[in-house]
This record gives sequence, structure tokens and C-alpha cells, in this order.
Amino acid sequence: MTERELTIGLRLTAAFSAAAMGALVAGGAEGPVRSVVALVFLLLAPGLVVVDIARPRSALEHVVLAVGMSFAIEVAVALGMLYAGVWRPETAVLCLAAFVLAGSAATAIPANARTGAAPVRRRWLIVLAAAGIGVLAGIVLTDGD
Amino acid sequence: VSGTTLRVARRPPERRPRGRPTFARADRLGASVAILAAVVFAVSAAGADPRGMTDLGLIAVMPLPSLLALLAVNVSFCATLRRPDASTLALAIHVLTLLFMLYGVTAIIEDVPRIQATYRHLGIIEELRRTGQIDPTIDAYFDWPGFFAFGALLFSAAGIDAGFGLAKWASLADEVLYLGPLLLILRALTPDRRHVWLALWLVAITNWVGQDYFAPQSFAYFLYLAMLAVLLRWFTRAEPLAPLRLRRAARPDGAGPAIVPPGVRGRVAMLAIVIALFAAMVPSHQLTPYAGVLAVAAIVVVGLCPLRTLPVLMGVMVAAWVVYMATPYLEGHIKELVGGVGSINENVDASVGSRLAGSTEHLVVVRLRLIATLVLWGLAAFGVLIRWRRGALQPASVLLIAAPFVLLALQPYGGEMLLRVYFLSLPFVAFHAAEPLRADAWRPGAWRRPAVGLAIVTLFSATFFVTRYGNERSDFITAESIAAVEQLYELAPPGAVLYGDPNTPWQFAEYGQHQLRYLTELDGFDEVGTNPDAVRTVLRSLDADMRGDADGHGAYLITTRAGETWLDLLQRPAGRLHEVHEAIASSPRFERIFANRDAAIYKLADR
Repeated sequence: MTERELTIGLRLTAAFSAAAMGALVAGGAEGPVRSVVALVFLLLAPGLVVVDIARPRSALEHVVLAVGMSFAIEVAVALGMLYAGVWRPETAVLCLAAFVLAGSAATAIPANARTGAAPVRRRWLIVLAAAGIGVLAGIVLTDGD
Repeated sequence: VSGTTLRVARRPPERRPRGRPTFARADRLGASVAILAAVVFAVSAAGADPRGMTDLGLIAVMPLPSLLALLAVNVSFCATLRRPDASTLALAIHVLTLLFMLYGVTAIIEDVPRIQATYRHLGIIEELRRTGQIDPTIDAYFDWPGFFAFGALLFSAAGIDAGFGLAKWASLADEVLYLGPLLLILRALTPDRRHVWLALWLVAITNWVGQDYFAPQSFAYFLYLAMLAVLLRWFTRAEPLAPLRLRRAARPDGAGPAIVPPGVRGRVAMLAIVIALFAAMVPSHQLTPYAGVLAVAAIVVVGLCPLRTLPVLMGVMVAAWVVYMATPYLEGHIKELVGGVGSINENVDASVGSRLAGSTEHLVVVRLRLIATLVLWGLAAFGVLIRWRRGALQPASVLLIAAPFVLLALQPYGGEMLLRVYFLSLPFVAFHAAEPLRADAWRPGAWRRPAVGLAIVTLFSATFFVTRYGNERSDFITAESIAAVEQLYELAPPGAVLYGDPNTPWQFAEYGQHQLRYLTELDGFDEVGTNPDAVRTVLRSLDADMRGDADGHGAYLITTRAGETWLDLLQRPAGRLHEVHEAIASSPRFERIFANRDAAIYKLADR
């Protein structure tokens, strides 16, 4: 596989794992499938959306930075909930899944035809808006847990 | 080639042509040998009986076919590395196979996670999930709860209850995770791909310190490596130092300036990633952030990295966490924290001298660790000399070896500081240790250099099962011990005082709900084995203490095989804890309420 194919594969993995994670958590599924999906999702997906803005050049750089940033995001989210006394992990996972899906959709926006540059502002506006909707959806879906 | 023996010809960078990677017949053969070796290793190792271990550790029960499979994968790797056009996939398959053998072996042989501390860490995650809060007064772990908070989120998302399965394979998973940042770091230091893979191999076969289990330090280590990978790859100049002068030389081995992402946005984004990685490290582990500050400060101070305010910011982040978030720990341990500052001899002695104790076989293990370490460091020193003579010494790689050693001047860290320093400097030590082996000069048909390389990697690999798993007899936890602890938690109500041995695999449930006390701390225990009356003193003391505790929520005692083997491994005379356990079992003061072949639970007998 070429670097480009690997990078596209990573993005697809992140998007599909986010969709599957959201569905499994919202549906209350248990078992090994959920465990595997959660491991892939939390290891890779949230960070992959963020590191795209730094334009890593290879699939390896994408993976390393994505895993590192995923850890950083999840440590911040988990500590935030615990210190605030609002421990709702399933809500957090749904929010992260929504964030990843929105980020993945934004990545698919084509580059500027004239300059070749990616429309970063537009992408991140969409990501942030979708993340906000995701947070609300996550809270509503897991309300009362 | 010049007249000196150390000076070697400048070599052009060795890069594979870009485009779709190829997988030649020789690559397929090498990969097939590696995969077959992995299968032979796993099938053979699965039949090993861990109860047969001696104080030499895992090597005592390792089946011969497993060791031959390890030899085969070393031979196959060296044969693959001889080909300049060897496929990256084939090399990666070899490295993954090696990691599976070296770091997955205990998960194959043993039923439950190894190392008593693993259970404590699982218990903290369970406590966070159950209470949904962080109580910093419980113990120091709750002052640096980042890893445990991450674990709680992961376990909840994955629907995992106890996490024993995940913890069992944690070492292998961590080592696989480290591969990515290690590759980025090594590629930033040299464009010679065969040097990179050989250094990666050396990291795998010399990482005997065992800090990669299910623990905060293994998590923080990934963040440390990833942070350094970004800084070395994107923000650090790679110009080598010329011999004796700090002038910038030409690019003798093709190591050019670090790759800088295009535009301001790219640089800002990469810097933000570095800060985010460090921000996750700060609340996750007590020590690694200090190593991070020292490492970054080292490359900034000598002007290799232009991010001058970064180490200051990192220092502020660490200080802010300690002052505002870890206050309970700071208040209780301020003397311990500053007591070791400047006491280098004492701190080194705590890491080395105090470990030269225990059974005869254990002393063999400790000495072999020292020898393996000195050989690796000697190879690395020789490598530094070679690169220096060639004018290809990368100052960043030397500084990043040296930076963690500053920690030795600050703290003994419970006698573990030298182990942590070894772990933190290992990637850069291995990078230089690979230099004298000259993988770039290995050619099909030439045998001398590859044979020397093979001999060295085989020696390190063969001794790995002794150096890394030399304490395995006490690190090995049985399913029966876990069953006994589960029974203990069913019997003991919250608030009950629990007595037990050091190395008891407890605290994986009801963390912080019980006071823990150890038999080895009771009056008279120090004289057991030398004073015939000492055991009676210990029993009287235990009886009095348990009766005092019984007024509250009760007191229970658990005795374990793991405690006996741990003490016998590390302290003389042997059999002291066994003697006390036997006396408890036959004493009318205590009533046995549960027992299996590895543990027993007692409460006070009715009078």
C-alpha cells in the first residue's frame, strides 16, 4: 500500500469506528465486539481528526500523533469529568464519536481548486458545530444513566 | 578510508526508492521464517509450567523449542538486514515477532496478569468508575490520576469489568505502541534505514527493566517518546558536531535539518501537539514529566531547538500541578522529595548496591543485568566515539542520553531511579550501540560483520529471559491467589483491617476501603530465622493487633505463596515468611476460613 492509501485507510477506520462506537453505546450493546471497537476508536480516532491540521506527511506520523493526541484528549475529558464530579463516560464517548464523525466529514471537503489549499476555517467551523451538536446529542441520549 | 581504525568512510544516505513498496522473494522467505518461529514459540511456551520456576526466573522453565525459535528469528532478521533493499514490511514482521516472543511470553504461560502492582492499578480504575470522583487523600496515585482516569474511560467505553485480560497483554501492547515514536525518533537521527531497524531491534532485546506493564509510567513513556519524536523530527537541527569543535560541519551521513512542516500553521499545530502530549503526561506520572522537561531543556539550551520558552512552559505546568493538584502528597512527603537532592552516591547506591542481595541464583540475575547494561552502554560509548571521529555526532542524540541521568541527582525514587534512567535513555543508547555493528556495511556474501552483529543480538536475546524475567518467580501471580483475594473481599466488610504479606495481589477491588497491614512489619519479624522465639513474638503481636482492630469493622489475614517467594528471592535467610505462615496455620489463636494451594484466609479464633 502507498502512504496515501494508508492514510485514507486510517481516516476510514476512524470514521467507521466512531459510527460503530456511537451505535454500540447508544444501543447499550455489550460483549467483545464493543471492546474491540472501543479500543480502536479510543486509541486512534479523536486524535486523528485533530492531527490532520498539522499535515503529517506519512501514515506512520499520522498514527503516532493520532494515538498521542487521542490519549491527551481522553485524559483531559476523563479528568475533567472526575474533578467536576460528573462522571458520565458513555456521554463522553458519544460526544467523542460525534466529534470524530464531524471531523471526518470535514476532511472530505475538497481542497480549493485554484490554490490547492484546504479550506481549513470552513472545515473547523463544521467540526466545532457538529461537536456541539454531538455533545447535546450525547447528553440527551444518555440522560439519566 | 583514513588511517585510523575508528574513522570510517562517509557513506551516502540509504533510502529506499519511493512509490509502491516491493516484497521480494527473500522478504517473503524471511517473513515466513519469522511467522513460523512465532507459532513454534507460542505452542512450545504454552506447555511451560510457571510453578517450576527457580530464582533464575522464567529461563528455568522455558522450553528449548521456544529458545530455538527466538534464535531463528534473530538469524532471519540479520539475514534480511544484509539486503540493502530489504522490504520494510519484512523487517516490521520480524520486529513484531520478536516483541511477541519477548513481551507476550508471560501472557502465554501465565493465567492472570503478572506483577502485584498491576492489581493495585486495576483497583484504582475500579474505584474511579465506582465513585466517579477523585479523592486525593487516599494515596499518591490519586494526586497523579491521569492514566487511571484514561483507563476508567476506556474500560467504561469497552464494557470491561475487571480488565485482567487487557492488563495481561499490556506489556506487548505497550511495546507495539512504542514502535511508532521510536521509528520516528530513529529516522530523525539517521537516514540509514538499516541502522534504524537494528537500533529498534536493540531496544527490544535490551529493555529488561520491565516498566512497560499496566502502569502509569508505561503510558507516560509513550507520551514522552511521541513528544521527543515531534521535537526531533520537526523542530531540532540535526547538524553534527565536528571533532573537538562546536562548529557546524557538512552533512556527513546525509542527516539533514529536521523536517519543518510547511507554513506557520503547521509549526503552530505541531507545537500545540507537543504541549498537549506533555499536558497529558503531567497528571499521569510523577517522574516522567521531569524527564521531559530535562530532555527538552537540554536540546534548547545548546541551541539545537529554537523553542526557547517551551521548557519554561513545561516547568510551569509541572510546578502548577504539584502545587495545586497534588497538595496532599506534597504536604506529607516534602522531606522525601527534597531529601535526596544532590545525594548522587546514595541515590545510585539505592538503585544498585541495595539490589545486590537475595538468593544465590538471584545474585546471578542481578549481576547479569549489570553486565548486560554495561555492555550496552559500552557499545553505545564506542558508537558515540565512532560518530564523533567521523564528524557525524548528532548532539541531540547524546544530550537525550545524558538528560535523564540528571534525575539521579534529585531522587532515589524508591531505589528505582537508575532503572528509570536506563528506560528513558534507551532509544538513544540503542541508536549509538548500533553504530559499531555497522549494519550499512552488511552485504550479501560478506559474513564477518553480520556474524558479529548476529552474535551480539543473539547474546542479548538469550540473556533477556534472565535479565527481564529474573524476578518472575515473585512477579508470577496465580489464579488461586486471585480467587483467595476475591474471597477475602467477600468476607471482609468495608472498613475491615486486612493483614497480609508484601506482594499480595490485592486492592483490585474496594480500593481505599480497607487499611492494609503487613506481617513483615510486625514486632519480631526481623529476627525470624535467627531467633527461635521470634515467631512467637510475631504471632503475639499479630493477635494483639487484630484484636484491637476487631472492635471496629473486623480484621482478616491472608497468607500467600507470592509473599513467600518474593521475600525468599530478595532477602536472607530464606523461608522466614513460610515459617510464620506455618505457625499461624497451627496456632489456636487463628481460625482458617478459606484455603487453596496458594493462599489462606484467617480470622481470630473465638476465645
